[in-house]
Amino acid sequence: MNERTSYYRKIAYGVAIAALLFPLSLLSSPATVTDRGGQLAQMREQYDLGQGDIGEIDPASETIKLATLGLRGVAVNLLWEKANYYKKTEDWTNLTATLEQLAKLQPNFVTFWMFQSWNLSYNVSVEFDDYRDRYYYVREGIEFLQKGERYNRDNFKILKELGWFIGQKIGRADEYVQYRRLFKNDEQFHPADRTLEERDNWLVGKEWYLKSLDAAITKGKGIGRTSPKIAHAAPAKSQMSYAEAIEEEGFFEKAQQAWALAETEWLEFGELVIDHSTGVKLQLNHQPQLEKEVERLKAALEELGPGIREKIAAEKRDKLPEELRATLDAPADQRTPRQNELLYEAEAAVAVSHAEVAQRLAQENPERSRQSRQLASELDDTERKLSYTINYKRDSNFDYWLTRTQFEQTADALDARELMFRAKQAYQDEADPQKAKELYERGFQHWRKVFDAFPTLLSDDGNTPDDVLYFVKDYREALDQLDETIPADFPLWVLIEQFDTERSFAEELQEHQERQGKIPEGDTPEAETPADGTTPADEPTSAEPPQEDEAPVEPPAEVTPPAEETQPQPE
Amino acid sequence: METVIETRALSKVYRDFWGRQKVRALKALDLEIHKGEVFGLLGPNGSGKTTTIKLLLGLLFPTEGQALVFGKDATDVRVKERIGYLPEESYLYRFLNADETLDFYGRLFDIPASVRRERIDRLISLVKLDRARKRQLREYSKGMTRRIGLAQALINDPDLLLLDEPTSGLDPIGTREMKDMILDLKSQGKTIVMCSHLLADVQDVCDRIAILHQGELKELGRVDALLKVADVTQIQGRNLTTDCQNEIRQVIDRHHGQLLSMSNPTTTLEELFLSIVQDSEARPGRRVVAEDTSREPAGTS
Amino acid sequence: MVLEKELLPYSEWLSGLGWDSALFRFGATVLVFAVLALVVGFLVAMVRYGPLKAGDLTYRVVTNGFKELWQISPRRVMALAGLAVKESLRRRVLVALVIFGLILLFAGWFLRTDNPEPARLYLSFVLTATTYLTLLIALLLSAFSLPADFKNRTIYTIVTKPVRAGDIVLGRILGFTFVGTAMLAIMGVCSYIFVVRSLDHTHAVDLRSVENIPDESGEVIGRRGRTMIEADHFHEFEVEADGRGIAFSEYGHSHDVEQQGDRYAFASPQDFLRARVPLRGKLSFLDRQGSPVAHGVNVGNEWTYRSFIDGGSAAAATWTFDGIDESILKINPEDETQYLPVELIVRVFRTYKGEIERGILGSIQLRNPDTKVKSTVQTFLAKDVSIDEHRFERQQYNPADNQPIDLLEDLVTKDGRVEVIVQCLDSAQYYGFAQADCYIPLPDASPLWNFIKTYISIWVQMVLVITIGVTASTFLSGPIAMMFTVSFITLGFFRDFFVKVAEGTQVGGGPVESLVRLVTQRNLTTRFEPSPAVQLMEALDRVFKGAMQSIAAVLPDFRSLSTVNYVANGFEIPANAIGQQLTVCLAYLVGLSIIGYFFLRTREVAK
Repeated sequence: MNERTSYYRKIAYGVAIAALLFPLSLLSSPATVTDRGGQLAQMREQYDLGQGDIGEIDPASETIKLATLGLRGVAVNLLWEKANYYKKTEDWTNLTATLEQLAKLQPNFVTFWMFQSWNLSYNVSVEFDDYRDRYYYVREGIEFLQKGERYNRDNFKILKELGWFIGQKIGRADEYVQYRRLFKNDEQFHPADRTLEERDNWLVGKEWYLKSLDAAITKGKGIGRTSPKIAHAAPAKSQMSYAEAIEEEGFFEKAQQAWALAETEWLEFGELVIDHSTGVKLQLNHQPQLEKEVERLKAALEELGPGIREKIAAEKRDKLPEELRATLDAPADQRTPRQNELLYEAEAAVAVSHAEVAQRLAQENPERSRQSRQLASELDDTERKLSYTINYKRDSNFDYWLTRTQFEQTADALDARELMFRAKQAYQDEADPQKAKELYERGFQHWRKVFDAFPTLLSDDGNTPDDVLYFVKDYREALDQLDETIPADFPLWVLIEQFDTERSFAEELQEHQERQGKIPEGDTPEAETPADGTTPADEPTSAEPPQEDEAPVEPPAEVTPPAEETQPQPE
Repeated sequence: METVIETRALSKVYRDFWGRQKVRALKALDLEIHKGEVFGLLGPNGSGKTTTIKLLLGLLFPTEGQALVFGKDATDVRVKERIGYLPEESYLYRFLNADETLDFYGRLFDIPASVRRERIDRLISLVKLDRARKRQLREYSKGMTRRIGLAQALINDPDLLLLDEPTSGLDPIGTREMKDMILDLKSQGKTIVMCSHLLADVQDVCDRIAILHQGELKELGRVDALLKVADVTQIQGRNLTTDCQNEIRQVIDRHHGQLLSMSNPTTTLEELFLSIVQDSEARPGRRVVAEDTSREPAGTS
Repeated sequence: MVLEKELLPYSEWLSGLGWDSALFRFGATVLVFAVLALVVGFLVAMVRYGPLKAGDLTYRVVTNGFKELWQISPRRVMALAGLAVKESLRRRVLVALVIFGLILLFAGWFLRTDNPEPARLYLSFVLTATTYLTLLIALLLSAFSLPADFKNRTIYTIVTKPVRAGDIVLGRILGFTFVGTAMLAIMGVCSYIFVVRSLDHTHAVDLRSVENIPDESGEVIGRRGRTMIEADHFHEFEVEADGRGIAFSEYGHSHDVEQQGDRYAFASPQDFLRARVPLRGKLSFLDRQGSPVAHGVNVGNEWTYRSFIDGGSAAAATWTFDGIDESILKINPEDETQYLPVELIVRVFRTYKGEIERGILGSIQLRNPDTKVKSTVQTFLAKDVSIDEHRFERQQYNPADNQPIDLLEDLVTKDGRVEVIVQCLDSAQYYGFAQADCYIPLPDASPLWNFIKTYISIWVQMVLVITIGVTASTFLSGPIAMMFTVSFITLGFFRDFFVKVAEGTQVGGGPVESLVRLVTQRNLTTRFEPSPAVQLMEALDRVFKGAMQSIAAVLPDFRSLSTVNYVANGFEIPANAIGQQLTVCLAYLVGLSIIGYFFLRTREVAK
């Protein structure tokens, strides 16, 4: 090829490049005061893709990214490998240094921040024996995540995780007493304008939760795949944990206020409109209204054609095969196994839907057809909404926590708590079992009153009875010191009967029941069925109270909820 | 006469990476070069003259045959003590200045410092670079580069000088000076082997030449003998009377000769060279056996 | 600090019996290379020139080679070295210093002072940066120099002088080493100043916290308090009545304090840079029943560096020390008594949290290895992973009969041996130890000299890279020589892994098997169904593994050449380690120069 053709070819390339660049420059021209900019600039604005929109712009980070000369991926891989190696060989200093370098290289990779801060707070911290060292790395993880938050402004996941770390990792660790103390006195962590009062891990955690919701709702970033009932409950739950924690530390008046605030917040949460996964909008507080509405609609439908529902049911029943009809006729305690199998099928076959009622009504009274159909569909919708509401409430243990915030504010509960606290002090610090015993006994009287005033405490999925049972155990320990046993007039036998799943009180209970003459001597108390209908085996067997997000035990009888709603919501 | 260089059936075949034969650059060259003579290697580009020089320097290893310098194998390091080499282009370190260059090469000969300093001064004034001795070679003109190249070739006061295209790139004055230097070196008793395709230069300074073409030796001999046209006598005279001229003419007539002009003419080397190349291309493979006696130039009959 | 590989005494390492001694391995390698080179050289010559001439050539090359090795002239080598230096400067090698300066300037972007071991962090960073930068320069200089000479044909004017190929190779190596050494020296000075200055700080006093220290009679004998937070930490401090005092160790350093009226002046930090000199012992274990075992218990760590002993049982870790005499004892300045200091690092593993704010209880005791006489038991609460000093007074009591015994007379054998026995006393809790975790501290060495020593080991790595680079460039073109050297270094850094693959102890198989697993997306442990294809794969792998084993035999272990860890952790680099490194360096220099010589000698310089 001669010089000329190569010259022409170069010209052609140049023209092609220019031709491609020109539309690109138009598409990507940046926004000005008067102009909205090119298509790309607008899209970047729309989807918040600008570096400045994601978070802090760090010249250091940008420089280092550039300095890798396009080999950022390789560098990042090597550094991750190194970080893993340092973690393996327990070289924490170099691990944190490596994470620092990684942070500069991939500041907008949210998973990196979450993973490595978790690593520091949860995995590295436990490698230390001294709780202060452990706390140092818990804090290190939190600070690392906070740095991630600055690089990724308004990121719901990071903000929520911060709320979780600061709340749960500090407040629910085995060392929570020490961690909370260190956290309160941690001058390096807290901003100077945060009062000592506010330097509580639960309150700080709550702040982050509130920020996460602010980002998600107000700034429209959304909560991703997190279940709204968990996301929105978090601040109020932190408030409750705060109240619980300071109660344990002996600040009862402050706790009362804290519980009051918690109640308000919990009710606000109940009032909040949240989306069910099917798109139905729910308010957890509205269960009673919905129930009333269902009643009203049912009555209205009934009014349109009294007795129609029963009539249809009877017709369906007549059409049933002999075997199914016999199943339905048989009294519950005399059904054969075969009939038990068939029961569901039989019941489904004679069930009458609202639509069927409406249809029959329309056939009989064509002039009311529209009205009846409308009623039926309204009824269906309301019933579905009710069942969703009930599910969500149960998933978040809504009623229990409401009762909890309420009863904790009562004078009895406060007295009970304070007496428990003082009793424990008397027993542990003063080594005075007699005084402890007396304080415990006075306290249990108050607990009795609390349970009487809030009977649902004994039936809801809450951990109050279990908590009280721990006090009873402490009480028994004090009694043991005095060579006494739990007296017959102990006001909380009902707790032992119903909630002692570990059967640590088996002996005492048996004695007590023999005293009461409830069961013949020698029989075990196991045959007793607990009042709430669950068997002991269904209860969580660990000493831990059931977690609020855990799945309920049984679905309600009326409606079968959509399958996914019976699963615990993944975090 | 002491033989400085001797090649015995020296051959070089260039091979590619896989050992396949690419070029036969030199075919069974036999040469003997004696002490004190200026020997010219002539030939068109690619004729094998540079290959010969490289073989003589041990930069290449012969495929067959032997190259002996001072009676030792050319690859033997010891013979290099007595050799000076001026490469085709000056392959010198461009970041050194003249002083540093000469000092560096001087050290390579293990010359003691005092001798080195004295020699450097002498050589620099010899090649007239006194004013430029502290300038880096990168700033040198072509002529200066050739001269510093020559100086470095002389740093060890060699007995044998191998000059590859010594006058290439030099202006007429530079060329003249270079030729004078060569003759001067010859007068000091040094043996000089040069290769060139600038025939006039060779003609001016060389005692003997070898003409190579396509790796084959075509002609070898003393320059004056090679250029003499034996069957022609040229007579040129002064103060010859007409009678005398007539008498001469008669003598020639008597001998059935024909007087053109009365003298022994010489051909130019250029003509000789071209005729050899023509002949070689017309009849490839024919070996012109070189002898030290005058003989009929090939292809002029 | 962590010492994963035990450092053998120099003489044992060099010429100890067995396959692993350095001399033996060097000899074996040289032999293998010599035979290989002869055979390959002869074969190549035979293909070119036929068997007779090939024999002659081979003979001449070898004999000339040995002759010429003795003809290396210092003047020529130095001339070529000088040329290499000038060439390096021409190639703007000083830019590297600018880069180094930039790295130091911007180091603050990575390095946070709130780390509890700031000195370790800074030293690791600076030394690692120096190492990588130096190796990079060494690589670029050495790999491209000779090939450039070939390309520019400047080599013509060199080899037509009476220069031996060995001169050329050595001259390059030496020249680049000069340049590198000068640069290392500059970097070293800069690094030292950088580290010292970065760590330097003083404190202001939190005046609210200052209080008087009364003695029993209520008289004020000093004051104590705490400082404000500076560089992410604060100190507790005490000053005595004369106004002098100390800020207690925090974040690896302490300060001298002087009271000037109401003000307190804090001097620069001390002890950031230390060079502890440990007298190390040999570790052995006893199991729960008290019988000797090779290792303690594994508590489930992937890293098996430390092994653990059960608390509340007969399990014990015993270190045997050698060379204990009076000179090792320290003197307590308060009462002029002598004591034997023992420093111990304990790694604690709890099976249950127990009392959170209390450490795990352990005991430490001396024992005479021959007479089995024991010292008084000292108990301590383990400070996890930090160095804790235990003192054994010269005057001890035999726990058996409560009679006074003398530490040197009764607990140390005549030839100076003593055992230190450590046990964990809390049952169901564990102590973990590695051999380096217990030592007897000797007087500290100079931290500056230690710092210089670590630069020597960086220097050794640099010389190795230069040698490899220059040797490679005698027969390869520039970029290829660089790739070759880079591969050599990379493999050297991952030598352990490489050897594991070569020996077949790495999960996932050899190179071919790994490739198959990658392509077919099998995980590391799935087994292959036997089939001819699998057999072929394994056969290929055997070939590769054989080749890899031979490569591994000549690979330098770059990781073990690094002494950064010693300095970063504040320990003296043993002279022995430096000695071994220098010896290794010399071995490579000699071996590779000879290889380089023959490559250059048998190469046609011109084209």
